[in-house]
This record gives sequence, structure tokens and C-alpha cells, in this order.
Amino acid sequence: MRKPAALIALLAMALVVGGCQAAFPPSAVTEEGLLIENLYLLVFVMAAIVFVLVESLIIWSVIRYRRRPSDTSLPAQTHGNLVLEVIWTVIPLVAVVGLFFASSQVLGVVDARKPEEVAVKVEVVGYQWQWKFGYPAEGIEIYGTAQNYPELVVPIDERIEVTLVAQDVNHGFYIPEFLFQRDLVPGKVNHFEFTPNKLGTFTGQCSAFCGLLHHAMGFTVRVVTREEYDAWLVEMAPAPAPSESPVAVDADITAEVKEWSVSLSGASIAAGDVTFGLTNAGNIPHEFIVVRTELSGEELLDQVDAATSRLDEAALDAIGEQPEFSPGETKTLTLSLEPGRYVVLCNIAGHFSSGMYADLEITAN
Amino acid sequence: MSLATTEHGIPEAVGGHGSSAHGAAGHGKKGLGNPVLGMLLFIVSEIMFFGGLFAAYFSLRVSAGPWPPEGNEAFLIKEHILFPSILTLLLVISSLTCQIAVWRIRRGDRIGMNRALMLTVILGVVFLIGQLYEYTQLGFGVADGTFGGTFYILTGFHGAHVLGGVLMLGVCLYRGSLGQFSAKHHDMVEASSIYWHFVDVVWIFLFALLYLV
Amino acid sequence: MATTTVRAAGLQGSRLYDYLTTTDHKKIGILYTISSFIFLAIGGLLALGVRTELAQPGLQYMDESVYNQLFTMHASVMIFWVIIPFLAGIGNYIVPLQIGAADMAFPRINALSFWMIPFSGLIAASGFFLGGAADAGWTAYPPLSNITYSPGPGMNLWIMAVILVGTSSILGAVNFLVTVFRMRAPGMTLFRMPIMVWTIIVTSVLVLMGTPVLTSALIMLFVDRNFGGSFFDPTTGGSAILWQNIFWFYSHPAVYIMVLPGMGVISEIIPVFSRKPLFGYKAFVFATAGIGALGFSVWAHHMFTTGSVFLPFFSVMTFLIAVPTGVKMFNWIATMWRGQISLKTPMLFALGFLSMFLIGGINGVFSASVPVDYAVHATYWIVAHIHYVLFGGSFLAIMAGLYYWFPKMTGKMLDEGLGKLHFAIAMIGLNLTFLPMHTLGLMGMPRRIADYSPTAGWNDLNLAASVGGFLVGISTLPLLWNIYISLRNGKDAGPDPWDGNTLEWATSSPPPAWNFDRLPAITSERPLFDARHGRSGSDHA
Ligand code: HEA
Ligand code: HEA
Ligand code: CUA
Ligand SMILES: [Cu+2]
Repeated sequence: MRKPAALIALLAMALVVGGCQAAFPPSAVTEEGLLIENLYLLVFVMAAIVFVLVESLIIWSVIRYRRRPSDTSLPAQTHGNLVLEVIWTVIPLVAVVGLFFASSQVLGVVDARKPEEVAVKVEVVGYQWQWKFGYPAEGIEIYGTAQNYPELVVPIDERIEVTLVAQDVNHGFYIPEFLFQRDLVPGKVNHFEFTPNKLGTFTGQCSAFCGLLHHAMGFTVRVVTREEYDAWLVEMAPAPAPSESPVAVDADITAEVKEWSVSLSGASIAAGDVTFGLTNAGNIPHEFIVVRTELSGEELLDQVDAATSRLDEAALDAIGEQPEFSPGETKTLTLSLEPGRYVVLCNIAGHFSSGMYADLEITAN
Repeated sequence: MSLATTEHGIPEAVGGHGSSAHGAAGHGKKGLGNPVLGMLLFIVSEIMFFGGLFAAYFSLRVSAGPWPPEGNEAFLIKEHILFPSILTLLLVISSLTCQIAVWRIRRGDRIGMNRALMLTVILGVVFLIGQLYEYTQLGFGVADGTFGGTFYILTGFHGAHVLGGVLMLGVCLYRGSLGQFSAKHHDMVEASSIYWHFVDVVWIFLFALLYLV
Repeated sequence: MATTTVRAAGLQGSRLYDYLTTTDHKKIGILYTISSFIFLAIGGLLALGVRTELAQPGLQYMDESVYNQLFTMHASVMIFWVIIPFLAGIGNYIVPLQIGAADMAFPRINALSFWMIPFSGLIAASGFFLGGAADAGWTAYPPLSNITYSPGPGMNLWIMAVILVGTSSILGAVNFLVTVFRMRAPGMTLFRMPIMVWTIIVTSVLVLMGTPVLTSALIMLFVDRNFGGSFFDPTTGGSAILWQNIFWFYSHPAVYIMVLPGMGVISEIIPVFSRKPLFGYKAFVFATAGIGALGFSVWAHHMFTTGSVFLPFFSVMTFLIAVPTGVKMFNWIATMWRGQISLKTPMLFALGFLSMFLIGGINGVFSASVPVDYAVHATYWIVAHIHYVLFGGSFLAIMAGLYYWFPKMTGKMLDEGLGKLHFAIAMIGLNLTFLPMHTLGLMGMPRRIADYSPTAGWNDLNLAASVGGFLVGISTLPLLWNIYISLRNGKDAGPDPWDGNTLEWATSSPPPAWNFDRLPAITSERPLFDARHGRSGSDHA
């Protein structure tokens, strides 16, 4: 008797502690989110009633109907009571059907598509393990990295349409303060629309397990006024596209990186200061590492760590590297290279083993 | 409301000793023998297994639009349908011979059962060989898109079940040749034949789906 | 069975050899229990690894790849190698006794089903030593689980192991059904069977109809990974959603596979310790069948956020499942009502089940509301749900059953004091671990993350959860100690220590190989009660 009492006390405590605000979602910052928040409250009230009722019935019967030494004869052997059983079938039935209709109401609004009212269209692309936020109409593209998360900027009180595209595996576009998330599913384009109604910056995170760095797929959504938004658009407007010959003029050798290959303009080049002209011709960021090794790229493949699906850079003799750079970007990388065999590669998880490498011979001159 | 709803009339007088031991042997009860009931239940699970594969087939085929999908037009197997039709015929006949085996043993005719079983096993083996030959003729593999994948997984696992059935019937044949079955005791033959019929029915669905529709 | 004993004798029948070769449902039941305990230790320690890493922000003890293996294998082990086999084991021991049979219908197949379990478990676990166990979550969603994104050997091993353990379940289900339908003692009509038996029937049907579908999905995934198939590979015409549909078509019914027998156990214990018959026996049977049937029509509630399922149908079906479950809940309470409740350890765990499963059920209903699920899906709210139903539900029920039938299995009573200690620590630990997860989920902490931002405000609650996790772990130690000392010098149980109602208490503890020397008259669902108090006692109101 003491033990359950203690337990119950603890439960009650935990619930009271929980009860105050810890049992509720953050206050929503979109019109749709507000509806969901209210719906949550409704469900919560229903749940609380059921919980308190059932839990107290349990506790009561345990306390009240404990077997006493005086209980020698059997208690009444009741096998059932049709009326009661009908009652506790029908009441929950009514309750859940009610909840279902309430939910359907909200769902209708949350999932509504109203193309004519949409003011801003953004495209969200998820890939292992970051995001690309695109504003097709304005030609703006923002790439996130694990170091600095991307930010989606949207004007307040206007209807935003989000298009969700998965590049490789499932991802989940989730913003707690929207009380909303939707999956990015490869081979399928998802949409949702929302109307932010609070200014501020709100953090989001990938919610669908997508492998190694799932936890590092963070991002933020910044809700600003129309004026600020327009200003931001101007500031973000893409610089006039890099000239047709994107590669820096003084490159000794050019390399094009994309999914999933690295192509060099030559297989060998004379030793000394070598300038690589790099172009990311792919759809996601890549890096470019020059590794000195007796092995060929092929042979290096065996050294990929199955768990991280990367090469262990500590174990490599990396001469130099161009860190992650975005699609369309061009870079130059100058290294002084002794004669020998080299492999150039991209070591972002999965990229090398997917074929992003090329062999390079440095010849004595 | 009385809970004493009885399944077969008034509860029998208490049998006491080893009444349950009887149960264990599964005798002394009318109706199916345990192996037969077990086989029927197992076939339920087999149906669900193929159900899963069929579900995949349908959803992939529907979402593919044209079937075979673009790029795989070459895989049109409707063209050379003759050979598989023959295989189908063989399997249907084998189902018949299998049933004959059951009828024979029910009448206690061991020789007749063995003959029929022998025939069934042979037909089954021929079917398997034919299936393998068919594979070499098709010109596409399991890795060739959803078309190749679904085709080979469906026919392949059906083939595996045929093999299982052949082995079962083989055991029946062996035990039959040792004269271990009688008009009374031949649950294994009954069970195996049910399984064989099931495998046959699955094939007919497969054939209709993969070659005709 | 006979053959085995002969052979055992032949090889100077050592106890061990006897168990290794037995086809006796009772010994097999005990083997199930032992294997489940060992896997519980493994799955639990994996969980404690997870909790240790999450206790504070930052990656202190492992990198992401290890973490992903830990939670994936934790879940897989707990579901496929602890809960399901544990319940199958209890059923194996109890069901033939409760229907007055001498053994299962197919003793050899029964032994086979058991041995597949430790074997498959080792296959899955071997991944840890072969370059990385499965790490795509126990739901193994493609494309992540495809060869491109999970090149390691762990995934293949996992697939093979789960196919094996599934086959074991299927064979077991066939065995249970044939046993129950063909081998009931005279007088044991369907509606006089103990509820435990009914829940095993429904569970077996769920296994029969669900598990093979999972097998088909696993095989297709295996072909994708190893033979260039493209079933679930969108880049070659396959469909990633297809996997989710097939997987959940099994895995939702699977959650009832994991709880219905537990409910059966509870329905055996509460009447005995309240000295009353189960309230609304028939309603209970129909509710069980109803849950089983509804269970096959709600799977897509795991896919609400994929934007590819018909939401209203799956939402309403999911809501409806609350109703039959509620009927059971109220029947249990009505059984205690005006009873004479004695709080022995089995009853304590049964009460723990009632109050904890209630929480798990209710927070499950939140997710039945699609918009609410948009907010809590894939967050720790769901992790809280998982554990209130599986740990607070299935696992507590198993513990209740263990304390209840241990005397029957061994002939020795377990120590009450240690039992109550186990219960108290477990309940405190359980709630300390999983209650905060509701809040974490609402605050937006996603599942399956190895690390979280120290500024997210999740630190304290995660620390609390970790402490709780270790409490739960510790709580198993009194249990183990209890088992140890009770086996050595526990009080003798005698045939019927609890004034039981059902046939298993009519024979000695432990029962002889043939189970019964003689059976009492069976004229109601409580033959032993009738024997004790006369038929009159159980007149039906
Ligand atoms: C034993 C296992 C078990 C059980 C019994 C249940 C029972 C239920 N589950 Fe749960 N569930 C899981 C195990 C289980 N679940 C697991 C493991 C997952 C996660 C899988 C993964 O993604 O890894 C999951 C996930 C899961 C989801 C997906 C969430 C998400 O990923 O977004 C949903 C959504 O609807 C759900 C709903 C339910 C419901 C409605 C019930 C109902 O059956 C509960 C019914 C019971 C009650 C409601 C309490 C008693 C009733 C009353 C007292 C009557 C009155 C009540 C009311 C009027 C509300 N569960
Ligand atoms: C029956 C099922 C079950 C059980 C019992 C548990 C038990 C526990 N679970 Fe688990 N869990 C799941 C099923 C279960 N879990 C599932 C399905 C998931 C989803 C996975 C996924 O997302 O894919 C999950 C996920 C999951 C997560 C989320 C991981 C993530 O999303 O990143 C966490 C985090 O804290 C967690 C923690 C725990 C803890 C602390 C326990 C504790 O209760 C465990 C306590 C420890 C023990 C009980 C063992 C103690 C034993 C010893 C110390 C040795 C003594 C020897 C013997 C007992 C013989 N579990
Ligand atoms: Cu992307 Cu998780
Ligand atoms: Cu479910």
C-alpha cells in the first residue's frame, strides 16, 4: 500500500510539474500553427479528463477494496453488467468521433492549397546532410553547411508555398514553433503552405532520420516585414552569373566536380606550383582535396570507412584542399606538388565512394 | 448471460486420466488431423507472403504508367507466351495427379498412390527445369528495373515453393514406398497435396498477371 | 517427446543436454524466458548507451555512426528478441496447461521455433563485430537502407535475422492455433477458455497475417541491396513509400502482437488477486478480436507526414482503436471494484500496467489526430509513447506474468519484499525516463539524433531521462537476485499458491512432463474456483 501511494504521489507531482506549460507546445507563429495549437489543447483536455478519471478509479478501488483480515467470505461474484458495458463503450466512442471531426476541420485548413493567394514560393531541397533554400522567381539559392545553417527569409502575414524535394534519402522539414512538419520523400514532390504571423527567427531541424549527420541538418526561418523582405531580396540578388569561361584564367589544370565525378583537364602535369581551376558543376556543395598516395582512386575505395562512408583524412597525406563550395561557384587552388602519384577527390560522406575522384600524375620537369 | 456456451453440446463427463494426452496425439477428435489443419493455417501465411509481393507488383506497375516501363519495352514477354503456357499446363496436370494420389490412398490403394505421386514429382521437376530454361531465354534480369525485379521475385519465389512442394511430395513418395501410409493414416499426403494445390493456384495467378494482362 | 528423453538418457542425460534437445513445451517456455532475459540485458545496455550519450549535449562517448547502431539495435533487440519471444514463451508454457493439453500440437516444430530466436539474434548482433551493425533505425526506411547509403554488412545481417525471427513467429502461431483448436480438454469450450488463451489466438492470427508481409518486404529490400533490384529505389522506378506501406502493414499489427498477450496476462492476474471473476468476459473477447481487426486498418498513421496517404480513413480508424482498448481498461477496473484486492507483486505489476499503459494509450491518441501528429511526429513525444506502451505496457505485463507463474514453473515462491523493491524502482525509473520525453518532444527535440544544441533548453530533461534509464536498469538487479535466491532456498509453492482459477493450478508445480494426472470438471472459465467453492459460487449475474 505504501509503495503504490508513493508512486502515485510521484506521478501526480510529475504531472503537476508537467502540467504547467511543459505539457503544451510552444505558442504557434503561423495561422495554421495556431489552429493546431488549439486542437492540441482540445485533445489535451479530453486526455486529461480520461486520465484523471481512469487513474483515480484505479487508485480508489485499490485503496477502498483492499482485502482485509475480516474478508473471509467471497465478494459478490459479478460477471458483468450490460448497461455499464454499453455506457463505457459508447462514451469513448462519442469522444473519439468528436475528436476526429475537430481534427478534420483543422486538417482541411492546414493542408489547404490556395495557389491564387500564394505570395512567395520557396523550394526546399534536402540532401545528406543539409538544405538548399531556393527562391525560383528571384533566382536566389542558399546552401547550408553543418557549420552555418541556412536561413529561410519570408514576409509576415503573406501566404508562403513551400515545395519539398529530397535529393537522396528521406528528410523532414520541421519547425517546432510552426507545430508542423512534412517529409521530403525521394521520387515525390511535397508541398505545404503557411502564413507566418509573428516576426522573429525560428529554428528548425530535420525530423526524418537520414543517416550519419541527421542531427546536423539544422536551419532557421526568419519572418520579416514586407519592406525588410524586399530589401533582403535585393541584397541577395545573384551577382551577374559568372562569365561563360568560369575557370580562372591562370589555371594550370581545371577540375569539374559534380555528382558523382571529378574530371580533370589532364591526367598529368609538371611538378612545381600547380593552380587548379575548380568548378562545381553539380547541384549540391562539394569539396576538392589533393591527396598524395601510391594507390589509385580505385584502390583507395577499399579504405572508405563503412560507418562514416568517408576516407579517414588523418590517415591520408592531404597536400591541400578547397573546402565545400556551392554549385555554380568557381575557385582556384594553388599547391606546390612534388613529382609522384596523386588522387584528387571529394570526401564529403558518401561522395568519394560514389565516384568523386580522379588520378593525377605529377611529372618531374 | 451464461458463459457456459458450449461448442459441442453439454460438456462431456470429466474424462480424467490422460484425456489431454489423447488431445496431444490429436486423435479421438472428429474433423481435420493436426497436420492438415496446420498446413491450412500455414498456407494462410503463405497467401499473405505472396500478397505482399503482389501488392508491390501492382503499386509499382500502376505508378510506372506503361508496362513494361519506358526503356524496358524490349522485355515484352507477351510475345513468346507458348512455352510458359506449356509449363502452366504441366503444373495443372500435376495438381490433378496429386489429387489422384490422395483419392487412391483414401481407398487404401498404396500402389496407385505411389504411381500418382511419382508422376506429380516428375511433373514438378520438369516445371522447375522449364522455369530455369525460360529464365535463360528472357533476356532480362532481376536488376532490370521494376519490371525485371517484380518478374523474377514473383516467379522466383513461386519456384522456390514448387521446389519445397516437390521435396514434400518426395518424402511422401519415399514413405509411401515403405508402405507407411494407410487409408486411415495419411495426413502427410493430404497436407502435402493441399500445399501443392496452393502452389499451383499461385502460379495461375502469376501466369495470368505476368504474361497475359 | 518420448524419443527425446530416450536419446537424452542414452547420452547419460545431463540436465543441460536435456534442455538443449527438449520438445517439452514447459522446458521450451523456460528456454524462451532465459533467452529473452539475456537479450533484455543486451537491448537494455544498448539503451543505456543511448542515454549516456544523450545525458548532455555534445558527442562525449561515441560518434554518430555508433549512436545510430545503438538505437537501431536497441529497438530491434527489444521488439524482436525480447518482447515478442518473452510473450511467446509465456504462452508456450501456460497455454497447453490452461486448456488441459499435454503439450503443443507440434512439439518438434515448437523447439525449432525457439532455437531460431537466439540464432537469429546472434546474426543481427554479429554486425557489431563485422564492421558495424544495422544503423538505419528499426524501421529501415529506404533509400537510407539501400546499399548506396548503408553499405555496411550490418543491414544485410539485420534483414536475414528479422526474416528468421519472423519465420519462428509464424511457425509458433500455427502451433498455438492448432493446439488451441484441437487439443482442449473435454468441457473446455471456446467460451470457457482463459482470456490468456484468447489473446494468444488473436495474436497468432495477427502473426499469421502480418509477419509474412514483413518477410516479403525484407526480401525485396535484400534484392535491392544485393542483386540490383529497384523495388524501393526511386532513381530506377521504385518507390520509397512502398516500403513504408508494407512495413507498417506488418508493424502496426505487430504492436498489438506485443501487447495483447500482455493484456491476457493482466486478465489472468486481476481476477485472482481481487477474488472476483473477470468482469465482462465476452465483451473482453470481442474487444480483443476487435483490436486485432482494427489493427490492420491503421498502419498509415505512421505516415501522416509523408503526404502520400489518405489521411481521414487512417485517422478515424486509429481513433476507433481507443474504444475496444477502453472497454478492456474499464473491465479490469470493474473486476477490482467491490473485490478483495491483495497487493502481491504480480498484482502490483498488473496495476502498474493499468496506469502506465493508460498514459501510453492516451498519448498515442494524440497522434491519431493528424494535425497534432504534424506537430509531434518523429519527436521525443513519440519516443515517450513507444515506451509507455511497450515498457509500461508489454514489459510490465511480462514482469507481472513472471512473478505470477514463476511458482508454477519452478515450484518455488519469489520473495515478496524484493519483488516490491523491483516494482518501486522500476516505476520511478520508468516515469523519470519517459515522462520528460513528452516535453522534449513538444519543445521540438527530434528522435534519432546523436547530439543536440546546448542552447536548445533540452539539457535538464535529458539528464533526468538518463538518470531514470539507469534506475530502470538497476531495478532488474533485485529481480535477478530474487530469482537466484528463490531458486536456491525459496518457499515451496505447492500446486496452487494464489488460489488460482485456471487449469495450470490443478497440477503440481512444476507440472509433470505429461502435465496432468487428472483434470477437474470444466464447467466455467474458472474450473479451479468451482472446485474450491462449488459451481454456485460462479453463478453468472
Ligand atoms: C505495445 C505497443 C503499442 C501499442 C499498444 C500502441 C497503441 C496505440 N498507438 Fe502506437 N506506437 C507504437 C507502439 C504501440 N502503440 C510504437 C513502437 C510506435 C513507434 C514506431 C516508430 O516509429 O518507431 C507507435 C507509433 C504510433 C503512431 C505514429 C506516431 C508517429 O510516428 O507520428 C501513432 C499514430 O496514431 C500511434 C497511435 C496509437 C494508438 C491510437 C494506440 C491505441 O491502441 C491506444 C489505445 C488505448 C487507450 C486510448 C487507453 C485506454 C482507453 C481508454 C481509457 C478509453 C477512453 C480513451 C479515450 C476516449 C481517448 N502509435
Ligand atoms: C520493448 C521495447 C523497448 C524497451 C523495453 C525499451 C527500453 C528503453 N529504451 Fe527504448 N526504444 C524502443 C523500444 C524499447 N525501449 C523502440 C522501438 C525505439 C525506437 C527506435 C528507433 O527510433 O528506431 C526506442 C528508442 C529509444 C530511444 C530514442 C533513441 C533515439 O530516437 O535517438 C531512447 C532514448 O532514450 C530509448 C531509451 C530506452 C531506455 C532508457 C530503456 C530502458 O527501459 C532500458 C533499461 C535497461 C534494461 C531494462 C536492461 C537492464 C539490464 C541490465 C543492466 C543487466 C542485467 C541483466 C539482465 C536483465 C539479464 N529507447
Ligand atoms: Cu535529413 Cu534527417
Ligand atoms: Cu501504429
